Formats: sequence, C-alpha cells, structure tokens
Amino acid sequence: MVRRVRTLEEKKTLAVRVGANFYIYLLLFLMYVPVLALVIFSFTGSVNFGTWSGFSFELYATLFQDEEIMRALGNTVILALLSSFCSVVLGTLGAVGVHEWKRRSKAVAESLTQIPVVTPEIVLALSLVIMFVFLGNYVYAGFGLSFWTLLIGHICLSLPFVYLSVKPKLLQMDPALYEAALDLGSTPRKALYQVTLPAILPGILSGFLLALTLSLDDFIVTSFTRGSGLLSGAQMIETISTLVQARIKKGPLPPQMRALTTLIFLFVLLVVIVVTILMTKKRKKSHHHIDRRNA
Amino acid sequence: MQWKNSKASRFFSLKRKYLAFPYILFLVLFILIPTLLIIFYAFSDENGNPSAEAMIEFFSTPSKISVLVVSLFMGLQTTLICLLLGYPAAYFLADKKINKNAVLVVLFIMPMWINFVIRTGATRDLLSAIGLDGGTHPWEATLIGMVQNYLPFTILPLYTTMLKLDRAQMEAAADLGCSPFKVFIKNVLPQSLPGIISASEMVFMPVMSSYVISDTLSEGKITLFGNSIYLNFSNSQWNAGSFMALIFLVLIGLSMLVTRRFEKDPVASRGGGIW
Amino acid sequence: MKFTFVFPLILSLLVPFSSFSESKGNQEAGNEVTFYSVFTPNIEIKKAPREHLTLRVYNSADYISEDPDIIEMFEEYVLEHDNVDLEVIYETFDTNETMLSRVETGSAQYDLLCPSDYMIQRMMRNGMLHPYAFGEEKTALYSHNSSLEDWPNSYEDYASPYLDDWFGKIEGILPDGSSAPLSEYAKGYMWGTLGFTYNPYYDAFEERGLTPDEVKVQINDWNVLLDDTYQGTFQIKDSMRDTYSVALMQSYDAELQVLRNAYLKGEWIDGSSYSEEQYSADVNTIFNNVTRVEEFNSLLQRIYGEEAETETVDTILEKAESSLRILFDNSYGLEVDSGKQDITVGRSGIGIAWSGDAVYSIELGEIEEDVSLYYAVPQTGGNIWFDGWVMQDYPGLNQEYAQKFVDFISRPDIASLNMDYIGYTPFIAGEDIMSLVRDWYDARSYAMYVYIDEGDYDNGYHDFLYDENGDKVFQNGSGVKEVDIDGEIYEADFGSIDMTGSSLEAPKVEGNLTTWEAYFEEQEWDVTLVDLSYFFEGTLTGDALVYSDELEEVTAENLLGEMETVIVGRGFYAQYPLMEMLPSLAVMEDYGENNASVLRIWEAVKSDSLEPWIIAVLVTEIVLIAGGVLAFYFIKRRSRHLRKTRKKERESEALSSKA
Repeated sequence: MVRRVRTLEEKKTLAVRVGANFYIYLLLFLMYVPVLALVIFSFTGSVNFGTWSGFSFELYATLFQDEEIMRALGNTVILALLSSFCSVVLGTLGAVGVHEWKRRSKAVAESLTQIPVVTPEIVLALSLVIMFVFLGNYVYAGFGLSFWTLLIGHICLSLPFVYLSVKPKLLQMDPALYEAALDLGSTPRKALYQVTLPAILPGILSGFLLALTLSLDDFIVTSFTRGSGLLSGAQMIETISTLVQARIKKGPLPPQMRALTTLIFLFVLLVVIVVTILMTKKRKKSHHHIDRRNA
Repeated sequence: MQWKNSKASRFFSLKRKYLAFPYILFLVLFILIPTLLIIFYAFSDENGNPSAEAMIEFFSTPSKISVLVVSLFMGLQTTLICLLLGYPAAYFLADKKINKNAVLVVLFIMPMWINFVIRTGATRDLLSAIGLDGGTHPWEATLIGMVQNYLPFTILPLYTTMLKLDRAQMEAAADLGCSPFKVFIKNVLPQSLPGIISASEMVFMPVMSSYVISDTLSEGKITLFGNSIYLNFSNSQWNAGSFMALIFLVLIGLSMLVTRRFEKDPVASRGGGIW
Repeated sequence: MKFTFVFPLILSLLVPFSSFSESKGNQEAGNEVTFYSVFTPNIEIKKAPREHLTLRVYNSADYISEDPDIIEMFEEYVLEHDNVDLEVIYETFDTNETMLSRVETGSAQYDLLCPSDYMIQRMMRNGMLHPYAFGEEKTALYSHNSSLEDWPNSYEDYASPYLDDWFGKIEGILPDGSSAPLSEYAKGYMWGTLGFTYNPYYDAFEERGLTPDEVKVQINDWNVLLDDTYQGTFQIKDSMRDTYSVALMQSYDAELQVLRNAYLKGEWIDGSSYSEEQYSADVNTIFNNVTRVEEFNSLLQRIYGEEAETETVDTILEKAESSLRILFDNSYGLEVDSGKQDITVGRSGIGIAWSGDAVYSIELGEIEEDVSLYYAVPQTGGNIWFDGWVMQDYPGLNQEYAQKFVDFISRPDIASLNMDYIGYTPFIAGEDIMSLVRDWYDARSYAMYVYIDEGDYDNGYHDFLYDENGDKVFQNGSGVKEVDIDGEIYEADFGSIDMTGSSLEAPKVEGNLTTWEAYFEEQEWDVTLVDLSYFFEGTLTGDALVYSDELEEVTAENLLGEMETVIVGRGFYAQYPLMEMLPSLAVMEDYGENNASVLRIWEAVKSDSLEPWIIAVLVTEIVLIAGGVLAFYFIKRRSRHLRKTRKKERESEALSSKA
C-alpha cells in the first residue's frame, strides 16, 4: 500500500478551505458577540451589564414577574401574528389575482407593491400618521391612532413581502394544472384549494415567516402609529421595541432583557436546527428518488 | 346544482383576477394615498395652503444639507464595509467544496429574529466597556453598530446570486490560463453583480433613514436623515419633515431608475427563500 | 372559466380576531380579561356594582410615587368616600414635545396632563386646555361628593405662597388673543432649577491639574463648559430648551454680571438705586429676550448707553448658536435621561441637570458608587421651572375627578410621599414636607435620633429608628449596635452622647439642656442656618429653619484666575435654593412664533457633524465607484464590439469560402 501524498494542488485547496471556514466563523462570532454577551450575562443577577455577580437564574424569575415586559411581549407576539396573518391572506390573494392580470395592469400592481419595499420605514410611518391625522382632522373627528392604525402600519410593512414570496411559486406552477383540474370536473374553488394552494404553500409559509420577522423587529412604524389597545388596555400600546428603546434612553439595557433575549435566541436556534435538518432530509430523499428513477 | 345557475352564484362566481382587489385596495389606501399626502404636505404651509417654504428652507439651510451629506457618507461606508465583509462570506458559503453545512447560512440571518433594539442596546454597553463609546468615538461606534445590523441583509442576496454562479465557466477560464484575479474580475464579479446591487439597496437607504442605531450608539452626536425627520415631526414641524421624506422618495426613485435593469429579489435579502 | 369566490368566507376568518376590539376611551376598559391575567389568576375580575368612571392621566415618566402607589391610594380613597369605582388610566411620556405631538395627533385624550411651564403656555395658545373651577363653581362640579371634609382645598391651602405668586405672574395667551395667568389653567406639581450636577473629585479633573476646590468655584460660572480645560468631561441635554437656556446664559454672561454686581451693591451703574425686583425683572428679560426683544434692547441701552448695539431675534439666535456649537463640540455627548446615572459611574464629570435628577444622582452616587456629587446653579442666575397639572379641553373631560386628583395629590402627606420617592421638590409646603426636609437635611435630626444605615438604595437610603408608637428613638450614647427590624438585622448608630429628651428647639446633652448653636460649636460640627420661610411661609406653626451641614464655603481660583469665595451645596441646595439665589432665577417662557427659529438653530448645531474628512472620503469613494462602473461598462462594450466584429469576420469568411 502506498501512502497517499497530498499534491500541491490539494494542499492549496485545503488551505483555502480552512481559511474560508475560519473567516466565516470569525464573522459569525463578531456578529454574535452582543447576543452571546447577553446570553452569558443572563445567568447572573447583576444590574450592570458586564459585571458577573455569581451564577443565578434570578433574571429569569424576575422576567416573568415583570408585568410591563410580559405585557409588551404579549403585545408584540399578538401584533406580529395578527398582522402576518392579515398580510398572508391579502398578499396571497393579491398574488394569485394579479398573476391573471394583463401585462400593463400587472406592471402597475407590481410597482405599487415595490413602494413599501423600497421606502424607508420612517417615511412609511410618517406618511401613515399624516394620513391618519388628516382623516381625523377633515373626515371623521373621532378618528385617532389606535390598535387598528398600528395593525395597518404593520401590514403595510410586511404585505409586499408576502406577495413577492408567493409570486415566484405561481410562476413556477404549470398553468395547465389548474385548467386540467377544471376540465376534470373540479369546481374553481376546489381547484384553487387542491391545485394552486399546495403549489404555492412554501411561498406562503416563507412570506408568513418574513412578515413575522419584520413585525417583531419593528420600532419606527410602531412608535409612530400606535394608539391604545391590546393588552395595554386603555394605555398606549408598548411592544418590546418601544419599551426597550424608552429604557435604554435612560440608561443601560434592563437586565431582564438579557434573559428574554436568551430565551428567544434558544427558541429560534431550536426551530432553525429542526427545520434545517428536516429540509435536508427531505431534499436527500427526493434526490434519492430521482437517482433511483434515473438508474 | 340548481344553485350554480342562480343570479347569486353568478354574482359570487368571480374570476380569479378579482381576488387581487382587496390587496390593491389596501395598497392604494394605505400606501399610495399617504405617499401622495407627503408630497402635498411638502409643498404646503401649516394652514394647508400651497407653498414652497419647506423646499426653500431645506435647500437654504446648510445644516440640512450637511445632514444629507453625512447620511450619504454613513450609508456608503456601511454599504462598502458590508460588501467587503459579506462578499467573501457569501462566496464561501455558496461554494459546495467549502461549506456543506446548511445551518451556517441560517445562522447568518438568525440575528434578525432577535429584536434589533435590544441588540443595539447590548452593542452600546459592550462598546463602552471596551472604550469605544459613542461619546468619544461616535463614528466608529455607529459604523460598527450599522455593519452588525445590516451584514445579514448583504450576505443573503449575495449568497443567492452566488448559488447561481456558473462554476464550470470559472474553472474553464482558470484552465485556459486566467489568473485567479482575472477570473474574479472577468467572471465572478459580472455574474454576481445583481447580488451586489440588491445588497447595496438593502443597506444604503435603510442606513440613511435609521433612527435608533445612530441615536443610541453615537450618544446623539450623529444626526442622520431619519433622526432629522423624527426631530421635525416630534416638534410639530410637519411640512419640513414631509419635505425631507420627499427627498428620500426622490432618492429612491433615482436609485431605482439606475438599477432597474437588474432583477432584484427583496424577499431573498430578508431571508425569505432560505427554507 | 368561472370561479366561485365567497367574500364572507374571508370575513368570517377575520371574526375571531375582532375580539381584540379597541378599548380606546372605553368606559368598560377595566373589566377586560388581559393576557396577563390569564397567567396570574390571583388578579380578580371585579364586578362593578358602583358607578364606574375613568380618569386618564398623562404624566412624565418616573414622576409619581409607586411605593406606596399614589394612584392606587387615590382610587381607594374615591371608592371609600364617593362610592365610585374610579379607574385611573395612567400613562407616561418622556418629553413635553412627545406629549404634545401625542395629544395633537389625537392618539388619545387625557383628563390630566403634567407639562412644564412653557408647554402649558403653548397648550393655552392652542386652545387645548380647560380652566379650573374655583370656589362654588368647584363645589357645584363635585356631583358625587362635595363634602369639604373629604375633599378639602388642599392645593389652595398648602401650595407654597412663593410659587403660587410665580404661577400667577406668568401669563399665557389664549387663542382669542386675550391673556390669562397660568394659575387659572394649571396647578403646580413639582418645581426646581436647572444647574450642574458635578463630581469635583472626577479623575479627568485631577489629571488636568484642577483641585476639587477649583472645580467647586469654577462651576459657578456658566462659561465653565466653554473652557478648554473642561473639554469632553461633561454631557449636555438632548433637549432643545434646556441646552439653549445654557447657551443663552453664556452669550449674555457679561450683561448678567453687570446686573448681579449692581444688585449686590444695591445701586445701578449711574448711582441710582437698584432693587431686588428690578434685578429679577432684568434677568427675566435677558432670559426671554427672544420673545421680548424691545425690552431687551432698552435694557442693553441702560447698560451700555446710547452706543449699545440693537439686537434682533436673529442676532440673539446667532450668538446662542455659536455658543451651542462650542458646547456641542466640547461635550462628551448628549443625553436625554441617562445622564443622571452616567455621572455616578464616571462617564462624565459634569452634567446639566434638573434639580430633582441632581438629588437622585447625588444619593445614587453616595450609596452605590461612593462618589460625592454636588449641585450648582451658577451665580449669574438660571432657569427656574414648574410642572403643573392641566386639563385637556375635550367633550368627555372628567373634570370632577381631575380636580379631586389634584387636591388629593396636593395633600402635604401625599406630596411628601412623592418627594420621598422621586426626589423632586413639590409645589406643596406644610408640616409634612418640612419634617421630611428635616429628616433628610437637618443636622439636628442626626444629632438627636438613632439612624440606621440600610445601605441599599432601593429600600431608601437612611432612615431613623422608630419605637412602637412610631416616634423616633433618641441616641443614648451606646454607639453602633445591631438591631432587629422585622427579622432583618441592621446597623443602628446610637451615637456617643446621650441625647434623650432633646427637641428641635434645644438639645439635652446628657440630661443638660443647652442650645443648638452651643452644641454644634462644641462638637465642631460645621453647620449653616438656612431659612426656608420664603417657601413655607404661612403653612407651618413653627419656624422654617434648617441647620444644614452640607453647605461649604470654598475659596479657590475662578475661571479668570482670581480668588473667589462661593457657597457650594448638594442635595439640599438642589431641592430648596438659598433665598439669596431667588432673584437671579427666571422662567423661560414659550418662544411662541420664534419656536421654529430656535428649533432651526438647535437642529443646525446637532446636525453639524459634517467634517472635511467626511467630504474627502465621500468624494474619493464616489469617484472610485464611478470609475469602476465606467471601466466595467467600457470593457463590456469593447468585448461586445470585438465579438460582433469577429462574428462578422467569421460570417464573411464563411461567405467567401462558399463562394
């Protein structure tokens, strides 16, 4: 047996591989430094971020007792789910509908969709508030900012992304399928549910997830368009973003936020790993099928 | 089946294309009309009469122009740094020889799921712990925060275009004697151009308009366009604020005009297509 | 191809979510099952047998006692005395401007709001406020219970006459052009001054060769922030009016010095007499020169004679702007509300602070960080401010309970709870407040009573030891001992002398009655007798004297290099300015029409971060990018051109070969 000697070429590729991986992990590490620091210091009770005062779960205990944070968290989640749901319904219907439009009117709809995508959040928020106030001043005096205006703001934020996620799936779909279903005696509604919907479902899901991230992370639109309602009752709606922003204006990050971030981080990490593993398995399976068929 | 031919059924049995009506209605009501209102407010005075006051004031006030320049500067720096850092990362991630781990890509977009206000607060505390606080180093601190926040938005569109790279062509070029540098310039770069454009768009404008990051990390020392609009708005100077918003809209229009030949995928830039 | 689409289907999908219906301004808001109550079953859902009313209150953040909870106390008091189930919806804002834009955009309406003096003026001008009812009108308003016993006129009875006088003097302009004193539309809540919180022992000062005494003296000049030695050691407020007022004091320092000297001498430059009232009025003119240009010019003429330059709004703002620019460049950074903590951890050595925040910083620094912070209002004068309760003029205004709330919160016992909790000085005088002041600041209290050092800021800094009857325990000379209070062990100082039987009037040292002066002299305790009667006049049975041991007389070099002696103080001095300082304080009124102009210079200063290197970098990058794009374009065009010509060549070759 001859000992395999690495050629110069192989050595080079190995070096590139190691270097590239090192670079990727370094970048990841730098990106995660603040988050990791939050995670580490969530296991100590000290008020000041950066001082270690012994291991404890104190912050987790106080996190769940902090009514204000819990309320803001509830608001954030409800708002995100609700606005994403509305966006998904509106956006999917929009994509399915516009797909059937003629070229010119389609172009108009597409550019209308582009506006909220490219407009900075602050302009979007300002324009919405101006309109709401305009409505209040000139159209209906009782109209003011409320939960509904906030919801509209968040839908504006995520709606085009749902549309844009669904659209490519529609383009990939074989148009003959739908027609075939109709020809085979299916009602249009049934055809829509049984043919179109499954085909675009991945797009809808991805749109929903996108809408969620956008809504969960939003600060500007929320702070402009919010009124009273949701869990805040008759008080101004606070979300995690607005609450934290108000607190960090006054001083360091509230310690309980470290615990909250850790929990969110772990949750998301778990979801990501599970989803990715499932997807890879599925992909491998389908590859396998193809391989067998080809053979 | 009787029902199917009734008047009611004809009324309800609409064509698929009508499904888009609520969508379009929503966009017109809450996107188009408000945008038009911005234009209206930008060219009127406090009492709603037409006036060019806000425009004249904007262009005759050096400080507002300087905010614009500073915002452009900040936007450009962040975009360039993000591209410089993100381009190789995206290239490596998309190269099957280097990275086989699908989780790695997702890890790059995961920070998006953690509230950015919290992340910014943590970054501020960390930076001041290592002596790079906003009071003494406002530019560095803000830039670090911006890059940290917008890097995922650059890596993703780059990654999706890199996946489509024609690697056979690159190898062919190398085999035919092209130096790696030449391969990069003549082959990789042109192929990934749409990704670069798309990534730049995802970073440049949002940085200019960002409010929380610059305000928090520079201890209020750096005012970007977003902060300025916020300041005007919170001091009841709606017309001036609207005009600044209009400037933004014009800038966006211009950038879209320049880059319209490239197909863009904002969904991918936000991490939509990953799963 | 037809497709059946049922619109109601979509609607029905949305129905389950409509239970999150808005509860804005809703009278039944209190009985909603909230997300939180689902998780904490011990929150009982009250059935409302009584009349249910709401009162919407919009106050500054951290501006009311939460322990004990004043809002809860009020709700219980109303339930007990009026048999009304009142729900107070309490919300907070961070700045007056946020509050105004919230109210203007109509996101909500409030029965009671707590803006500052100038904002009250602005809201009056906008016609947003409802005037208070007085006397019989007020009684008529009290439909649920008008008994004077349950609802006494606490505000009228206990508001400090000195402040009441101020409030009556400030005029607000109404939408119809007429004017009315602020006191008709507002009831004072808290008040204070704007000055410097500073740390004379800050490292950077020592590094720059400043002794603590020098800092203590030099801080008494507004120009200290413009001085190079102090560069980068201070924070300024990210709040237009406060920082502008500092810049104004700096721009007109020379004029203010002239006024001060005349006041101290009692005669004007030309030898005529100069009264305290005149001084106060002149300082006020300088402070409000943007809105009172004519008066200001005539003042300048009195100072400089005929050759005085005539000032306009523009020239005033120009001067303020140049001052602001230096301030901004010299400062460490801007802060909205974090400054009061930053200074305790050494992020800055000087902070522009409202007096109440100064009290907070001083205590926090003392307990948590072991630094001694001080407070100063420079000698040339400064801003005195008031925050007051106003009622928004809207159809659903609950005026009865708005006014009842104000009277409730103006009870001296309630006001002292607030003062204890938030550190700001209430508008209210009276015995309760005086006794709190003496607990905190009077050397006599520390001489007579046993005090315990809890050492924990959250639980209150220091407190006295009380016996079963709730009376303070006298020191008996047995030194520091551990005591058990409700199962917790504290260190209590029983002193080195037996003081049993002492009183505020006279101490009883080891059983012998003597005088406080003699006692302090014997103990070599450096105390200053401060008279607060200007504030407490008419609300106390005894005197308003406080023996303070925190005032220091310091002599050192001032900014001009001359030796100067000043009195410096800490928390006490922040809460109740010395009587001598009063004439130099002025209210900064609303800028009215000039608001936009002031905002413009503020914005200009804040936005002036553009530096040459930025432009250089920007231009270089743009040129490089443009060059790259152009090069790319030309290369592409050339290769396309080459391809075309080659194709043509090939085609012609093919043609010729065919031929």
